[in-house]
Order: sequence, then structure tokens, then C-alpha cells
Amino acid sequence: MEYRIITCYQFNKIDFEPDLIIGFYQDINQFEFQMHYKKIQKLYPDVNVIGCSSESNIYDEIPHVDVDEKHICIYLFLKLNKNGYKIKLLDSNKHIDIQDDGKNYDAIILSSNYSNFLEDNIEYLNNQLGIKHLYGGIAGISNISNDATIFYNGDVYTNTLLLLLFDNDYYKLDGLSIHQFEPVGFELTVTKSKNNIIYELDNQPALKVLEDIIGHLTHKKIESFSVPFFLKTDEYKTFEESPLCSIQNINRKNNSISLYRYVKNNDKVKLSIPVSSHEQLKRLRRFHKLRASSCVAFVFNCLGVKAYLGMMEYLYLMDLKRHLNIPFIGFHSFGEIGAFENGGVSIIHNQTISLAILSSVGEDA
Amino acid sequence: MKLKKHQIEKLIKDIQNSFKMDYDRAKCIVDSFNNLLENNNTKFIYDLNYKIFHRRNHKFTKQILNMIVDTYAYLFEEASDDMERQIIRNHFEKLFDIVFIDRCQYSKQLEEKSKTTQKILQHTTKRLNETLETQELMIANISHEMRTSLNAINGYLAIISDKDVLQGEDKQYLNKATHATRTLKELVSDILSVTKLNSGQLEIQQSNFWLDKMLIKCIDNIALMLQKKPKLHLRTDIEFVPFRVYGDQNHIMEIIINILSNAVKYTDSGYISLSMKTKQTSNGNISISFVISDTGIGMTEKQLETIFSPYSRFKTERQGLGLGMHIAHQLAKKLNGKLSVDSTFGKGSVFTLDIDIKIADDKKLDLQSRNICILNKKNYNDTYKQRISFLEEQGAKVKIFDNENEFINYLLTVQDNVPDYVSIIATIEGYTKFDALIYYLKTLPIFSKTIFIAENYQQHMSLNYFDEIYEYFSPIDLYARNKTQNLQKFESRVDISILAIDDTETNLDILSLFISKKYPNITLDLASGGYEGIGMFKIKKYDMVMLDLKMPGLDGFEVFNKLKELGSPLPPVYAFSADIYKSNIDKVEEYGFAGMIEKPLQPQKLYKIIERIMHESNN
Repeated sequence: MEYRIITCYQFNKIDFEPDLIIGFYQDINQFEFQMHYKKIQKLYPDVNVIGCSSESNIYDEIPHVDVDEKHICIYLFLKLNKNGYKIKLLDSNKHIDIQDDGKNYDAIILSSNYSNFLEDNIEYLNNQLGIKHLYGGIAGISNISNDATIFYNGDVYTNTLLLLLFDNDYYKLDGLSIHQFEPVGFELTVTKSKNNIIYELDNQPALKVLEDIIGHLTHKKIESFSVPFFLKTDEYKTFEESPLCSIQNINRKNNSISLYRYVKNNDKVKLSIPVSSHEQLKRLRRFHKLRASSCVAFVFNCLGVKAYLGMMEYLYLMDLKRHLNIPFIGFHSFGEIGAFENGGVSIIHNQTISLAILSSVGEDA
Repeated sequence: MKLKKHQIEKLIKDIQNSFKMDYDRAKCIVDSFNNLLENNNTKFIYDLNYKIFHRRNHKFTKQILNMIVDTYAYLFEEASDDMERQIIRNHFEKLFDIVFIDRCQYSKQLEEKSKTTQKILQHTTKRLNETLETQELMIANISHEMRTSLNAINGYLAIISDKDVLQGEDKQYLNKATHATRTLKELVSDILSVTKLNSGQLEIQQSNFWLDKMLIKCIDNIALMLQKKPKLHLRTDIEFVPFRVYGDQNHIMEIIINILSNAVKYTDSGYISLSMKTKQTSNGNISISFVISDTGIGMTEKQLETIFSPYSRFKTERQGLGLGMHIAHQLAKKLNGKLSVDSTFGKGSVFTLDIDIKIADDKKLDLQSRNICILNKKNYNDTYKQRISFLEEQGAKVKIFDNENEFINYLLTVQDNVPDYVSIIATIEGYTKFDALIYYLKTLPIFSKTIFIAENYQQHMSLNYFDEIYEYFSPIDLYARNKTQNLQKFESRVDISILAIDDTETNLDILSLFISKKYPNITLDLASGGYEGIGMFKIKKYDMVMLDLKMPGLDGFEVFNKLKELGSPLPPVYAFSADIYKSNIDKVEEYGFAGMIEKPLQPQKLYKIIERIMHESNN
């Protein structure tokens, strides 16, 4: 496997014939990404190019987070065995149905939007197709906007789920997700909800219940992503293994709270508090166990991580880079797909740093 | 802008001096800095920021800040024109912004976020406290109800067992039911203890006591458990303390018994060792160290971490609630002591209870004119010697034999100064032989007041004629006891009348069965409520009243007040209750009850009270 991470100004740095190019672009730079595709196509007519729009890009160069907007279109060029991977474009608002060909796969999922089908589809990939190593991110910055897109060989798609399957005979993915919060206090039961909006918690107006605990909730506080919920549904035994879910907005007229994902009645929520900086580092260093050689990593960081951690995000990414010493590429996502343990059950979360390392089979992981 | 050669050399030297760095590394840093000035490549700034983050050292950060200010000040002075000065100023601002201003902003954000965290935690703590209080109340109430029911179950089982009518399987079922009830009783007791400890209701009850006697009681408590494990032995190394101490004997015993029973439970073969060492402290107290070790299954590091947490066994595969160790640990704290543990998985555990205790300010034993005769064939350690010296110091005449024949010959021929105590430490066969000898000696009038003691008797066979048998050692105060006193019983029974008032039929039933079995002459009248009881009290004279505190209609306190209002002198009125909380006990005292009889009913305690009343009535 050969690889190289570059920006749209560095196509001349590629010294091998790529088979697959994975790119990320900010929503507003979709047109530019399409233009660059034409250049790529001229250079490598047979290459597959896939892409995903992002809130902002995560790149292999310091400071990794694109603070100066220098890396508006970024690419991972890969030379792979042609039998070693498959690309599938699917409708993100439907249940997927893929024939099991008897092979074992790991997968990267890139979705243009969040929908309830996404959870079902992840479960389907996990349980029906036996894909245990499943990582990815959701494009976009809200669950009502349609600006987020998936790119595939020149065309741009909305409401699309892109599945990049790696045949385990050739390649494998290792990875995990971490967050910096701890569930605390008493659980609250969602008693009235619709889609991603909670109207009542414990039969009381949801916003009132929340503000009784945390005080007045300003938009500034919401935008700082400082009070995410742990959302426990029937699938999870404990709050510790439940996904973290950010608060997206509040509505004082009907006392409701909207979340970054769908909820249903009888789901349980718990408020969270941040862990200490010492614990944050400890958790970050769980990634070090994934140390591998001759491999490349995808980073899916929640846009909430960017807002919440601020400058610490790039320091954490620098720390990660120094310890893993492998190139990485990624984006700030609306939601991340990953597991709390390498090979554990993948779920959709918010406010995580999720990492997936691609290596050839036989490489150390 | 590019640094000049002399500037580069000066900066390298400055960095070398400030950070005690070698030339090459310092040069590398200056090259990066030069690169920043020349190409505006910000990598240097982010690297610097990472270094500060990575070091997390206040001094280092300050050093960096000084270095940056000094360097830019120097370059500013050296600048050849305004344009160069402007470039330097811009660079400085950028660097300062990323490295320091961003950091300050992040700290400010953290402060804001911590306010929200504080609010969440305050809210959670308040709710937790409320929940805990409710739970404690709930546990207390449930325990109360359970104790009442257990009273009935325990009582009926004891009565069936005493009748000895069940055979074969049925007898086994009864034993199992009795065992299960005992376990349940211990559990309820543990839960109550924890609740009492948590709510600060635990009372410290101090009294004077002999340490050796206390340890004998602890050993007695686990003797039955030990008998069931023939490959397990108890070793003792108990320093002799020649004075009484003043402290909470019962709670110290509770801690030691808890640890000892656990040791027996988790050790199948090998030994359990109980040792006690003391040290006199400067303030006149003694510092005691009880060490209990075993060769049992030991604990893993994880188990060790949670051994003193409540309900620790829920986190392990062991049975039970796991409250015992938590209680022991909390009790030790309450007694201003410390309970610690060390354990190796698969090898065993060592528990140490360190506690300071006052020396009792009372007289020592008066053993003037006491004759003690001892046969000791196997045990002459320091403790033993100290005990003998102490007995002699207290005025006793001690005669020690290590030869059996001489000892027997002495007993058979003694005419004057007949021993008041004959203590024997012998072999298995020896004890059987001496049992027969004592049978003979007891037929002689001169030995009628002699107490025969078997010490260090670790055989599980019954001896028929010894007066006192001790598995390990006898308590020192035994030698101050008279045989007449020892055997004192209320042979001359008197008829007394007792009135028991309780709304629960089973409680009255049990009480009646226990009393009539032991004292067939006692008249026991039963009332199932307050008004009924008062009515009965008006028409008959009673020697004792037992009054349930929790009754519908008139409760026990109200009934007691009404009895007082009747004018005639009240006999001793005992509160009968499962609520053994301090607040309740205090209230009972305040009202003027003679005492409290706990539910589930402990027959021995009840009998003791009745005997006292009979004794008073007799006199």
C-alpha cells in the first residue's frame, strides 16, 4: 500500500499511480473540489475519487486543524490492490441491503446527513455483514441543512451514504473513539419527544428540568458544547457505554431541547461533566495502543470537539501525531461513527475524537 | 526579514544559557525561528505551544516568555529601519497571540465551563443526600419489620428444635431453616449497623475489661466454624496485659470476630493466626495491635481496593452482601483506630487493627490467700511466665508441676492449703485421664470449693468433670472467682407474674413459649393492645411488664404514661422493640423504662432479666 496526503496545490508531489483518492472539502468549497477533480482525472484517468464535505478539514500538517483555511481541499492518495476495496453509494434515508459475498470487510462510512436509518444501517453492517471495524463521520453542521454532500467520481450527492469496504484479505482498519466527559447525577427519562426534540423529561418541561440543574442556558453556552447528554437507549446497559449527544438548540416557547440525534420516549439521559485535564490526556493516550507502521489514519473529530476544546484540539492532535507517527487526514463532522474499544460495537456519537487506521494485512497494528 | 550572523550566534548563546542546552539543539531552535521570520512559517509557534503543553511546568512557561520578550526586544533594538521594526512587531504579536493569548482565552472558557459543572454537581449532591436520607429511613423501617418477623420465625424454630420430635430428613430441613434464619438475622443486623454508622447513631459504650478475656470470647465465637474445618488450625500469640483497660469492648470484639470469621470462611487448610501486641503510650494509654492472618485464598489487587467499601462482594464472585468488612473498617475509625489489610492472591491475607485504649483506673485482682496449682507439660512461653508472675504479684500462691505423677501425687495427698484452682495443660490422653481423676477428687469434701480448669484444650472431645474448659488459655480474672459464685443459681424459685403487651400475636406466642419452657411457675398474662393491657394492669399486681413500643392505637410510650398515671408503684417495665436506634433507646431511657428487650428475642438475655426480677422478688 502506497499513500500520500496532500492539498489541492500539491498534485505534483505524487510519485505513484493512485487507485483511490479520498478527499475532504468545506461545504463552501465544493465547486473548487469539483474543479480539482478535473485536474486529477487528467493526470490519472482510471482513479476512483471519493469525497465528503466538512465543517473544516483536519490535515497532516501542524497545526492539523485548518485554522488559517490553507487546506480547503485535502486528499489521501492511495495505491491499493484493486481487489482489496469496494465503494458503494447508498441512499442514506433507506435501509441498506447488501448481499453478503462471504468475505470479511472493515469499512469507512461517510454520510452526507444524519438520519435514523443511519443507526439501523450501522447495526445492519455490524450484525448482518459482520463488519466489526466500522468508522466514519457525518458531513454537515446541522440536521436540517442539506448543504452537506458526498462526492464520487465527479458527481455530488446529497442524502447519500458512501461505504468504503476494505477486504480483510488485503487491508484492515483499527480504531476507536474517545470523549472527554463523564455521566453524572440522576438519570432523566424522555417522556415526550419527536425526532431530535425533547419536550418533556420525567413528565416535566424539558428545558425547565435542564435549567433547574445547570442554570440559565444561553446560546453561547450551547455553542460551546459544554453540556452534552449521555443518551441511553435499550441497546446500552450503562451510561458509560452510551453515546454522547450534544444539545443543538433550545426553544423557550415550548420549553424544548433539540439534540444532535433522534430520541424516542423512554430513552434515558444523564448530564455530563468534563473530566480533568489529566484524565483527558490519559484517554487520549488510549490511541497509542493502535500504534502501527506503514499505515495511514482517518480522524473524525466532532465539530463540538473543535468548539469545546478550542486550542487544545490541535495540541491533542499534535500529541497524537508525535506518538503514533503516522500521517492522517480527516474532518470535523456532525457525528462520528466508532467504538470505545478497538473492534467494539460501533455507534454514532457526538463530541468524540474518532480515529481509524488503515494498514495492509500483515502490518503491525 | 532574515537574522544576521551575529544575531544568530547571540540567540544560540542565550538559549544555551537559559535552557542549559547543547549548541546543536539551540541552533536548531534559532534556525526554526529564523524560518518563521523569513517565510512566515508558523510551525515554530505551534511547536513552541506544544512544548509548553507537554511540559506543563509553570517555570518553563515563564522561561519561554522571558526568552521571547528578550529576543524580540533585542531584535527590535537592532532593527535597521521602521519597516523591519514593524515586521518584528507583527511577528511578536502573532507569536504572543497563539502561545499566550489563546491560552488565556482557553483558561477563561474553562472557568466558565467549571461554573456549569459546579452547578450540576451541587444539584446532584443535593438530590443524592435527599435520596440517601430516604433510603436510610426506608432501610431502617424494613429492618424493623424484618426483625419483628424474624423474631417469630426464630422463636418457632427454636421451640420445634427443643421438642426434638423431628427425625431424619425433617430434622435436616429444620437445621437448614435455622441456619438460613441465622444468616438472615446477621444480614439484617449488618444492614442496621451500616445505617446506624452512616447516620452517626452508633454509640460508643465504654467499660472496664480484661483484654485476654475479650479475645477468648472472640475465639469462642468462631470455635464452631473452626470445628467444621479439621485441616484448619488457630494459632495465638497474645501478649499478657496485667491490667484492665477501659474502652468499647463490644465494638472491638465485633471487628475482630468479623475478621476472624472471614478468615475461617475463606481458609480451608493451614492456619489462622491471632496475635496481640501492646505498647504503652506517653499519655498513659496503651496502643494495641491485633493482627489476624490466614493462609486462605487471599485477594486480588482489585478486591483489595474495594474490600472496605460497602457491598464490596457485589463486585466479586463471593457470596453475601460484603458489609462485614465495611462495618469493621467504619467501626475502627469510630473508635479512633485503624484497620488495614495486606493480601496476596492465593496465599492469604493479613488484617491489622491498631487502636489506642485507656488503662482502667481500678484495683487489680485480689488473689490473697488463693492457692493455684498448675500442671503444664507443654507451654512455657513468655506470656505464660508473665501470667504466673502476675498471679503471684496479686497474692496468689502458685504451685507449678511439669511432671504428671508428682502432680497427681500432690493432689491425692494434699491436706492443707488445698488448691482453689487446679489448672491443667496436658496432652489428649492426659485430659481424659485427668477428667477421671477430677471425678474422684470431687467426691472428696476438701475439693468441694476447687475449680478445675482445662487450658489449651484444642481437642474436640467432651470432658465431663472439668469446671472450665478453654481451647487456648483461661482468662486471668478466672482466678478471682469463687466456686460458689460460679455455680450460683436460683434454685429456690419464686412465682412471679409478668404482663406482656404486644399487638402481634406471634410475638406474644413466642414469648409465652420461651418463658413457660424455662420457668413453668411464672404466670404470664398476654394483652394484644394498649387498652387491654392497662385494663389487666388495673386489676392485678405484676412483678414485671413487657411493653411493645410500636402498636396501633396507643403506642408503648402512651401506655407507659397511662400506667404511671394509675398512681400505684410501677413494677419494672421493659420496652419490647425491634427499633434499636439510639434515638429510640434514648427515648426509652427518658420515659423511665427499666430497660429494653430487643426483637428478635434473645432468650438468654430475657432469662437474665427474669432471673434478676425473681432474685429481687425473692429478697
